[in-house]
Amino acid sequence: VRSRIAGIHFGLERDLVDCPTFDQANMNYREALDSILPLVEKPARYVGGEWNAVHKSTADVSTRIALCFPDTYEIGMSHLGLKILYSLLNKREGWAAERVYAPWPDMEAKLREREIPLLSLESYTPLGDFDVVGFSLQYEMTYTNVLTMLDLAGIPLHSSERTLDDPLVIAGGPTVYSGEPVADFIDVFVIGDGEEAFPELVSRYIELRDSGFELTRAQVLKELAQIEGMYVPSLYPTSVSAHHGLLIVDKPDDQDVPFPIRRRVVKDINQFPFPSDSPVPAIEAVHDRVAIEIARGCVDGCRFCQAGTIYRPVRERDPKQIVDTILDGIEKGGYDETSLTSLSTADYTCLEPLVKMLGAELERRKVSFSVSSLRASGVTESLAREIARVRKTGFTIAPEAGTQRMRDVINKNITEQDVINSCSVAFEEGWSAMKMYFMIGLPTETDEDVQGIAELGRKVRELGRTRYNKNVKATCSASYFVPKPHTPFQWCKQEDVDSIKRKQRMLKELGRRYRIDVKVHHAETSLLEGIISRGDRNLCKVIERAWRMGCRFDGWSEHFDFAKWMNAFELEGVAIEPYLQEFPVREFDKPGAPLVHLPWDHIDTLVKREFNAREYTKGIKAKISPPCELPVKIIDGRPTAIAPSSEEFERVASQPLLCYACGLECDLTKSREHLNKAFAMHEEVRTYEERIASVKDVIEQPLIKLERAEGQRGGGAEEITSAPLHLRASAPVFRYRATFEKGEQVKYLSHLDLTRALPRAFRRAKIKLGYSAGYHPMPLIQYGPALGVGTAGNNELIDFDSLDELLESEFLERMNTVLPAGLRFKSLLGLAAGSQSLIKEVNRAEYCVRLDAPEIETAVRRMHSEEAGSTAEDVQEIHRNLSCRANPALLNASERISASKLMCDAIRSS
Amino acid sequence: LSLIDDFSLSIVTEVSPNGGVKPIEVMAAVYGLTQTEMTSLSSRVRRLRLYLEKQTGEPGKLPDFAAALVSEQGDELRVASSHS
Repeated sequence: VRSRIAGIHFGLERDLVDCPTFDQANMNYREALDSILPLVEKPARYVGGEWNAVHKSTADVSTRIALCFPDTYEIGMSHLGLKILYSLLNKREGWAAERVYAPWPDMEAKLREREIPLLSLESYTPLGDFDVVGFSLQYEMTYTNVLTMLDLAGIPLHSSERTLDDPLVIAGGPTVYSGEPVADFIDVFVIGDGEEAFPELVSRYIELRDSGFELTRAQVLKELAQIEGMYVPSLYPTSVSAHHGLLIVDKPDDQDVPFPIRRRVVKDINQFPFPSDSPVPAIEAVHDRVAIEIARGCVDGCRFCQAGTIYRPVRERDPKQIVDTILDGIEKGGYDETSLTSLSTADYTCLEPLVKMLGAELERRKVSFSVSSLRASGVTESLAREIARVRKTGFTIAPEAGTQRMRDVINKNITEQDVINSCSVAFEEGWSAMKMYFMIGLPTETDEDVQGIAELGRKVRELGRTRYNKNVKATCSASYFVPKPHTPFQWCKQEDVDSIKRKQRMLKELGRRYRIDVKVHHAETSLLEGIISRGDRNLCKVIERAWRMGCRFDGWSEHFDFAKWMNAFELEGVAIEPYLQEFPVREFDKPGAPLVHLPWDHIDTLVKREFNAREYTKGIKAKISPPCELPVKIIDGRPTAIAPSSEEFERVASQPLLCYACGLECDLTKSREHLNKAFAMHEEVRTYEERIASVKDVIEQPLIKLERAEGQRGGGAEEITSAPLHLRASAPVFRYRATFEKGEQVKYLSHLDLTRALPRAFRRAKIKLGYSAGYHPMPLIQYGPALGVGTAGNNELIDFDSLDELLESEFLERMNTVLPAGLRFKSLLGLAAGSQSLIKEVNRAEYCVRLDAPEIETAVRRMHSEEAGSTAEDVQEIHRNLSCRANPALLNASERISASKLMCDAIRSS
Repeated sequence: LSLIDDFSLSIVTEVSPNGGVKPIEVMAAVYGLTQTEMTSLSSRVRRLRLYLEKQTGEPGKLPDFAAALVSEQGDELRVASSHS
C-alpha cells in the first residue's frame, strides 16, 4: 500500500512512513481533509459517516471496490443503481465497496493545492489504492469529471498507460452502450444489468491478477472480455465508415474476442431484492427518500427513449417484496418520504393494489409517497387519492409533445384527453400546480407542434381556473431533443441550435400570452450532449483536451463553457457536424439492404437493429405501436394498453398480449402470470380494506378508556401507540427538551442538515413525534440557535412533542443506538404545556476556541511583526469593531478592558 | 472572554432570536484574521453550552434547567425527567 501511495504524484508518503497500520494512514488523510474542508462549499459532501454506511475492518477486507459517481454527492446519493451495487458487493465476505463522488471544483483545487488524493467516504482510502474502480456513467456531460477523478487518484488517464499495479477501471450505466468517446480511459465496460455481471468481473479479475501465472495486463483484459457483457475497447480496432465518416468498431482478428458484445440481462430481478439499508444522505440529496425500483424495462416503446431499449424486457418486482422493502427502508433509514420508480410506473401490473396497500401503511407512519414517471393515461382517481393521503408532492406528467400527430410520431401513447383527465383528477384531489415535460426539435416537427405545447398548457390552466376555481400554476418544461443511440430515432439529424432557439423564443412568447410558465433547456449543453452521445472514439482526445482546458461539471450551467469545448474540437481537428447529421439507414437505397454500421453497433442490446429501423419508418409516418405485453384496449377509437384497474380486470386481462418480435423473445406466459398476480393482489387489497374498516370500530373504543388513564403506563399505552394517528384525535402529547452533542465527525453538517437528520433518528428509534395539522404535517421539533458549518457543540438543545411518555434512560438508549457517529443525546427533560419557545429562551452561548490553532499562530506572528495590538489605540479599534455586533450589556467597557488584557496575555502565551 | 487554560479561550456571546455575534468574528476582530483564516478557524470552535436564564413554565414541576447548564459540573449534564 505504501509503495503504491508513494508512487502517485500527490504523495503524502512523508506522513505514511512512520505509520504502522493502514488505519493510521487513513487517520492522516482525515486530518489532511480537515485542513481544507472549512474552505470549501458543502464540506459534508466529503466526510461520509452517514447512517447505514458500511465500514469494514481493514483486516477483514481483501478486495476493495470503489463505486465512483462522476457528479456531486447529492446526485450520486440518489442513484438507485449504486445503491443496489453498494449493498450487493458489501454483503460479500472479504469485499468492501466504498463510495467516491466527484469533488466540486473548489474542492478539486484544494486537493491539488495540498496534494491530497481523492478519498473514499467510508475509510478515506485513496482512490488509487482500490483494486477495482467502477464508474457509473449516466450522462455524457459528466465525462470530464471521470478524468478529474482518475487524475486526482494518480491513476493514468489512458487505459494503455496502466499496469497491473493500477486499479482496474471499469464503467457501467446507460451511456456505456455508446461509450466510444471514453473508450481510451476505461479498461472494461460492463454492458447491461450489473447484479450478476459486476461481481463476476471483480472475482475473475482478482483471480487472474493474483493467480501467480504472472499474466500481463493485456492477457488479463483479454480473459475478462470472455465474460458475457464485458467490452474491453482496447481489444477492438476501428475504421472510418464510408457511409457517415465516423469511426466504427470492427470485429477483432482474434476469434476469441467476442463480437458483437451482448448485453447482460438479469432474468428475475426478484433474486436481487432492492436494498432497504442504503446510506442515509448526510446532506439533502436530490431524491432524499426511500426510492424503490418496482420494475425494470418499459412496455411503451417511445421512439426517442434509450432506456426503453436498453432495459428491455420488462421485469416486475414482487409487490409484497416492494411493500416489505419500503417499510423496512423507512424503519432503517427514518425517512418520511418514499417513491415508486420505474420507466413507466403506470404500466406496473399491480400498481393500483400496491398503492392502496402502501397508502394505508404509510399514512399510519406519516410517510408521504410519490410515483415517478406516471403516464398521463395512468392517473386514476384512486391513485391520486392514495398519493395525497399524507402530504402532496408535485404533480408532473410528460406528454412529451404538444400535438397528437407529434405524439404519434414519437409513439407516446397518450391523447390530449388523457392529459386533461389526469389534471382533472389532480385538481379534484387538491393539487394546484401542474408541471408538464415536452421536447422540441423532434423529427418532422413544425411550428404548429411547438405551439401545441403552449396550447396544452393553456388548456390545463383554464381547466383548473374554470371548472375547479383554482389559482392554477401550469409549467411547461421543454427540452431539446437529442437523438440517442440504439433507439429508432438514432438515425435522425439533431436540429441546429439557431432553429431551436427560435422555437424556444416562440414558446416563451406564447407562455407569456397564456400566463403559463415556460422553461427551456440550455441549447448548447444539449447540442454537446448530442455530439458526445452519438460520438466515436475520435472524441476521446477532444474530451481530454476540454478537460485539460478546465472543463468540469459540464452538465451544470454555472460551469458549462461551450466556447472552451468548441475550442477543444478545433484544436483536435475534429468537426462537430458529422455527429449531428442524419445517418443513412441502409448501405444502399433498396429495401432489405444491409443496415449501415454506426459507432455503437458493436454493442448488442438484444433488440434487433431491424426492429429499430422499422419503428423509425413507422415514426416518420406517424404510425403508432401500442405498448407490448399488456392487454390492448380501445380508448376513443385508439388502441392503447395499460395495467388494468380492479373494475375492468376480468374483462380485459384475458385479451391477447401484444408482441412486436423486437428480438428479446419475451416469455408472454410470464406476462400473463404477472397479470394473474395483479388480479390476486386486487382481491387481497379488497379483503384488507374490509378488514381495516372493521378494525377501525374496535380500535376507537379503547382509546376513550386510555384518555382517562393519561400519565399512566401499562398495557393500554401500547394499544394507544399502535393505533393509526388519524384515529388518535385526542391522544396525549408530551413535550420534552433534550441536549445532544454534535461532535467532530458531524461538525460539517449545516443546521438544515441537522433538522433533517434528527427527525429521521427519531423515526429509527420508533419515538412517535407530534405532528403539525393541515395539508403538510411536519414533526413538532424546535431547535436551538443554529451552529455554523464546521462548529461542534457539546450541549445543543432541542424541544420536541411526542406521543410517547419517555423516561430519560429509555430515550437515551433508544436514540443513541440509531444516531450516526458524532451525534449523541445526553439528557432529557419533560416540559410543561405552554412552555416558551426554545429560541426565545436561549440568550447566551459559550464557545471555546483553541489558541494554538495555526490560523491564530499566523495572525499572532503577523501582529508581532507589524507591532499591532500593542498600543491602546489598536485595542480600542478592535473593540470599536466588536461593539458594532456585540451586545453592550454583555461586553461593556470594563469587560472590554478586561478582555483586551486577557487577549494580550493570550497572545504572549501563544 | 476568559482563558480556560493556556491554549483555550472561552467566549460568551449574546444570542437573540435574530442571531448574535459569532465567536469567529470576535476572534477576527481581536487577532485581525483574514477571511480565509476566519473560515478555517471556524472549524476549531466548539460551542460548550447554551444559557437559558429566563425559565418559564411551571417552576414547581421543572428542575432549574438553566442553572444546571450554567453550572460548572462539566459537559456531561444529566437532568432528571419530570416523569421519572
